[in-house]
Amino acid sequence: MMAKNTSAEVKDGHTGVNVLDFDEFYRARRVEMVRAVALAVGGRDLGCEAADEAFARALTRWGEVSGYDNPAGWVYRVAVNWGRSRLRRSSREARQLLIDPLVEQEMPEPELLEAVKALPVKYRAVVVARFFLDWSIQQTAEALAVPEGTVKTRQSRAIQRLRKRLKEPQ
Amino acid sequence: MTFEERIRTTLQHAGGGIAVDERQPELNRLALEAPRLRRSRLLAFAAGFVVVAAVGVITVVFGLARSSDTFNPIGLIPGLTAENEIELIEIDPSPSDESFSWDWAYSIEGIDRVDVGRPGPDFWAAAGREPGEEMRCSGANGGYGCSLVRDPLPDVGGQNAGGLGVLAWSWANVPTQAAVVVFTEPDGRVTWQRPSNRFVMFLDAVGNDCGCRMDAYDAGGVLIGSAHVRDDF
Repeated sequence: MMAKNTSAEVKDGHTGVNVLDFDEFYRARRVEMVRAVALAVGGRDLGCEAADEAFARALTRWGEVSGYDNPAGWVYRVAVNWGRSRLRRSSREARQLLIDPLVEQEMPEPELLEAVKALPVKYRAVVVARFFLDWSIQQTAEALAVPEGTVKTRQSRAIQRLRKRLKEPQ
Repeated sequence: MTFEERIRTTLQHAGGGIAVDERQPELNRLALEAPRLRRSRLLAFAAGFVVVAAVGVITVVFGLARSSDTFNPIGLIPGLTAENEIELIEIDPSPSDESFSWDWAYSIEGIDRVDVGRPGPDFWAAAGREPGEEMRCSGANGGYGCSLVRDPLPDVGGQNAGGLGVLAWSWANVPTQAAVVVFTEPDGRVTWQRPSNRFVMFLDAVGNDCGCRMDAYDAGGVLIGSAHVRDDF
């Protein structure tokens, strides 16, 4: 009698990685990552392209990346770095967030979003990780490969800039 | 609601409104592309190896052991420390209009932004001249200054940093080979910066006509150009 294969592993013929694991990770995290990267780099299309590039890289080294505490952190870092390097070459259209008009109409504080969009990317990446992805200081530091002190400093300076732009007391 | 909670609410709202094409078949494309990516990376690696080897030979021949990216001037140029390095942060440029086309914008601690770019049609029309001469302009807080790129003089500009008697001094055409620019104030205080797109920017505590100087050094620590705020602004 032939044994029925019930293994949850499907090895990719080229990379040898467990595609099924990656499949689950990709399906579970892609939308969130695209949105986070779009907010961090200031453009939906660029965010989408950057996130896909980062996922493609994650797949090629999934054996290593899947062992990290937060594989999404690795994807976020690679995507934000890739997006940053493309920012100058990309068109202005690529930098539009393209928020659903109905959602945009009901935006509670559009001026606050504009202020966030005006932050330098390195600050925005921290703000998005902390407040959109709800990552802790430690998770954000690990994801962006910077010391926790740097995350705290960037967060504090970002908030300072946002308050200043919104003319609110520091 | 705290300010942090307001940021969270705004980002959650905005992020949730970003329509993402949930193309699950994309996964298969990615999987299929992996070997292609590997091949292209192999080619890129081979090409990179050739380039790196060539650069290595040139570096050895000319004795330039460090590139501007990895150049660490501390200890090589007097007065520079890790603490007095000013980080130049590149940010998105302001939207261009008919007067100016902004290519880059920068920020440092203490000044939010300075845009750098080229004059547009309105600028030339107001000047009564035909476009053609390459100029570099920098602007902040509604003001701007431009100079000819071919002008041999340093393109130095002052940007008001909020009416606090503090100015941000920019130098927009530092020598191409500059790896570091050192800013020295009259009292001997020193700060330094790695240029980006031939641009640097420093704050001074004195204000107008501060008599400050900016010295550009190459990756070998050799002085290759200077800009004097009093002389040039």
